[in-house]
Amino acid sequence: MVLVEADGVVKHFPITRGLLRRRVGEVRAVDGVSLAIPKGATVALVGETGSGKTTLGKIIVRLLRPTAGRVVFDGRDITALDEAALRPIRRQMQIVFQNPASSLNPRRRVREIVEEPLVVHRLGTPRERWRRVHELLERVELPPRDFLFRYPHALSGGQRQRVAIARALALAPRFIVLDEPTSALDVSVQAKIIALLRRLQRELDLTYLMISHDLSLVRNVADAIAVMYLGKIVEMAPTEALFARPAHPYTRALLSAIPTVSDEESALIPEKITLGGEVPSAARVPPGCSFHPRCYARLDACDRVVPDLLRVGPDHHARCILYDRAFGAPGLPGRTRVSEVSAGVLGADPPPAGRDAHGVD
Amino acid sequence: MAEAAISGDLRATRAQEWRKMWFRFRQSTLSVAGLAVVGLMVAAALLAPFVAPYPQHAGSFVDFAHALQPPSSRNLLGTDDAGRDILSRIIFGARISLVLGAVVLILAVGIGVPLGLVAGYWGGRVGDVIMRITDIFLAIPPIALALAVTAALRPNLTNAMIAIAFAWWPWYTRLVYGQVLSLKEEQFVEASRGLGAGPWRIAFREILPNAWSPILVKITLDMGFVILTASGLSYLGFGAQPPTPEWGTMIAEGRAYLPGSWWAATFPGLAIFIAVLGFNLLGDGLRDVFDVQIEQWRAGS
Amino acid sequence: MTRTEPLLAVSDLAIHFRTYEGRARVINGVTLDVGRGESVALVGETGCGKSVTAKAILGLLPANAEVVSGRIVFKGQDLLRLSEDELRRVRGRQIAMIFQDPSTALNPVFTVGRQLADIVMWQGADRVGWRRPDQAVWRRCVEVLRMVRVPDPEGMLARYPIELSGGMRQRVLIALALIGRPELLIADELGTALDVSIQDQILLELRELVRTEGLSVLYITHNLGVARLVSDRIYVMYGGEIAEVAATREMFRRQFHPYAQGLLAAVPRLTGTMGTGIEGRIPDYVAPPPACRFAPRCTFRMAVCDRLRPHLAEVEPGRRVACHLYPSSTVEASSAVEA
Repeated sequence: MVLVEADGVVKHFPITRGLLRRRVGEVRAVDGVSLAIPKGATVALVGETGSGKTTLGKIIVRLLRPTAGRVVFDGRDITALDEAALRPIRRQMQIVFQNPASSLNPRRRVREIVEEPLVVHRLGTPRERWRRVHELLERVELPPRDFLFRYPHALSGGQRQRVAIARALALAPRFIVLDEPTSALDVSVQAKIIALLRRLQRELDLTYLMISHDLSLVRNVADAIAVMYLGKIVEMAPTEALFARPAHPYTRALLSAIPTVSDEESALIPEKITLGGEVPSAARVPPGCSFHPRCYARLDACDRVVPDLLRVGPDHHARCILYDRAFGAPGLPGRTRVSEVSAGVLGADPPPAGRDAHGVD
Repeated sequence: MAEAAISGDLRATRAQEWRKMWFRFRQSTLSVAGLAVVGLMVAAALLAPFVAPYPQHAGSFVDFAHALQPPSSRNLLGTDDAGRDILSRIIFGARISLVLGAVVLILAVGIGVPLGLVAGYWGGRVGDVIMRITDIFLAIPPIALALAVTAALRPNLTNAMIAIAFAWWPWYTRLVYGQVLSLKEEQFVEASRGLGAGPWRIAFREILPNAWSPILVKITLDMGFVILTASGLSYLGFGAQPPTPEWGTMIAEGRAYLPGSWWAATFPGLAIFIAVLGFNLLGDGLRDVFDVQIEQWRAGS
Repeated sequence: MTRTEPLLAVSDLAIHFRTYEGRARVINGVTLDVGRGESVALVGETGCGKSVTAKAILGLLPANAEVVSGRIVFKGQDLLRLSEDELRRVRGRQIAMIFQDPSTALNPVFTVGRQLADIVMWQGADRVGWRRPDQAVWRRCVEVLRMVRVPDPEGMLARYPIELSGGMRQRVLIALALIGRPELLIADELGTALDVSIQDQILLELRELVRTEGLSVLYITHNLGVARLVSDRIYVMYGGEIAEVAATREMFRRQFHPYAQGLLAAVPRLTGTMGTGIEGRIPDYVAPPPACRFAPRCTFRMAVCDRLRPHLAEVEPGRRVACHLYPSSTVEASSAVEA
């Protein structure tokens, strides 16, 4: 059952110049993304800076409005709702931000921070709110007595993030977007926060969208992964499949760039790929396949053809003409010799021509 | 029961925080000196009728027999041209200056801060209009503006206060505007929006509390400058009129007797100097304390 | 200085900080060394004191820091005993730091060329005055930009930091460090602010450069993967002390100190395993544990751990550990109780 869905979401930020605010171009932060997040699952959105993953995350919880496309929450189209209509829905979806140092108001004590959602939505009497705050702090493993009256600057990174999580849980949401929840934390603290998030997911039947740049982390956390580059999803697969058979050249390059800590991991990663050049700006997206200037497996047609998301395995899609029958479907040279594109084991049909495939199911 | 125990904790935590701030403040001797001066001024103002040796000299009182007496054991700072004890008048003048400063700043902050908040947070056309008006006011020197206003109205202390407040509010608008612009982008603001908080709540409960430190520092520093401006106006005859013992007015009255009976003009001038210095030192001290807090927060220590 | 002596030898360094809450005994007897041509990683999490150690080497400690004991010997000289002037001649010239955040470490109002040239001119004199850079200076700048693989080095001289991408800025920062021809580089969290593909590129290039130029590097990092990539030896630091030191290959094959074990286990792996972290928090430096600073969090805690501080002692060739699980660390006589 799909809880949250993004359908053809596009977000362009206009670039203006001059007094009259003339539009001279646009930043194509999100450029046509479709994604389906099943209830109870953890789906990861992976990418580097400029990939649009954070923007997409914000659009999904309607912190931003898409330029085009739809966002559907629990069957309801929330794309165009105004703030008043959105309010009840906001209770069901929350977002935890990346940097706990800045996502908590430095002038508020922990108690007020965690209580805020309840106050904003006018829930409960003060006494009931007190109790709920206690309960929430306990749930995130922060003994209330010690933490209620502290200011954020008196907390460690891990503690702050726990407070942010407690705040996100206050309204009993069903869906939480976690935007790089642990990238500002030490590795041992990260492990504890992830363990906490896992436990909460089980106890409270939560659905997560985790945004991250860390493939090793999502390998251990997500059920399905979507890799983004310059505003588009370039590969999407269940976790196992993505790491066993990475199809898109960018995914492979990312995997080979990870500084691993063990020989077993190094063996997993195919040949060493070093991407040339820099990530282009989302204001000047290259023609054709947006990855082609840096691609090591480029074909001649790559600067003209904009590839669709093509099926490369069960629930596994990659946006690359190397898998397009029209070009001979040679696949990526090397380890990933992808099997014939065909109707999948799980019965997912190939997408109709001219339209992006649905996401993970 | 648990609640009572916990609010005790809150009091204890708060007390500890105040102690910490005081400790940090204490690190700078000058800041403490500033605090002492201001404290002295406030005490003098509050206790004027009891502390001044000749409280009755504060109003209209004449004793030409003792006019222009140099400082002596009888009149510690001497007497002015009407025979009034200068020390007593200075003490009452402290009261006037402090009230004046307070009123002006309450008005200026009351007008300027909300305007800056609205312009910064909501922006758009309204914001542009507000800021352009602010810019216009900022372009005119405060004294000139205050002069113009008092000249239009009758010159007295109340109108002087209004005039100075009129000239002062734009600085707060601009200060708050800048603060709000940068605070608006902070993640905790975004987090609040994500929770469903409305713009009014965010503007006043999230952004404003974080903008207070520079405002507070500015208020403290401004006290000195407002007093200076008011004295300037009074000196020019557009503010407090004689026989009000406002320090500027006293200088105007005493000026004619320089350099012979130097005490009549010098001591009020010295009072202004010490007051402004005191507020400046206090303001700097506060700024140091607040800066450290902000720095600590950012360093995540 | 002989060939076999280390280039940099920190011995028993102890640094305390004066804070409102009291005296924070942050660095508590740190001993480490970097040999000629060697790349050493100092690995630890936030608050372990690795940045403080780096700053101590460069003499950049804040005003409330007090070096209580120890020596930092660089090429035969104890840096802690040098005057500010003498230290300035070492800093930037013989020891250079590559700063952490490329977006803030470059002065935005000066061109790249100017910032590089300034350092070259500092080399020659104690006062620069208003000297303008000459051809020789610019040539040196271009040369070093080429070394860090900047495309179009001549053009780069005229660019401002704000025009550059993160990766390019990082290269400029490395160039700034190299231009003084230092013998020792200190890299503080190199690459953390960059995307992983760029970070990978830069680290590999730097590693190659270090090899060809025969430089010594001290990498300060919290990222074990990065340490594995670039270093020959690793020091694991906890609570202001060295917990374990070994050759990189050996350290990743096996860890002896419980903290090092816990740390490595907590790293998420591509193979799909991830530990659960380490219970507890870093020690309060104002009131630290009496002996072993990791004891309160250690699953192998014994009575002796709270009584006697474990000595950093050799347990196998090339590896030293400070842990009472290994008899060589339990040395009664020379147990230095903290000052």
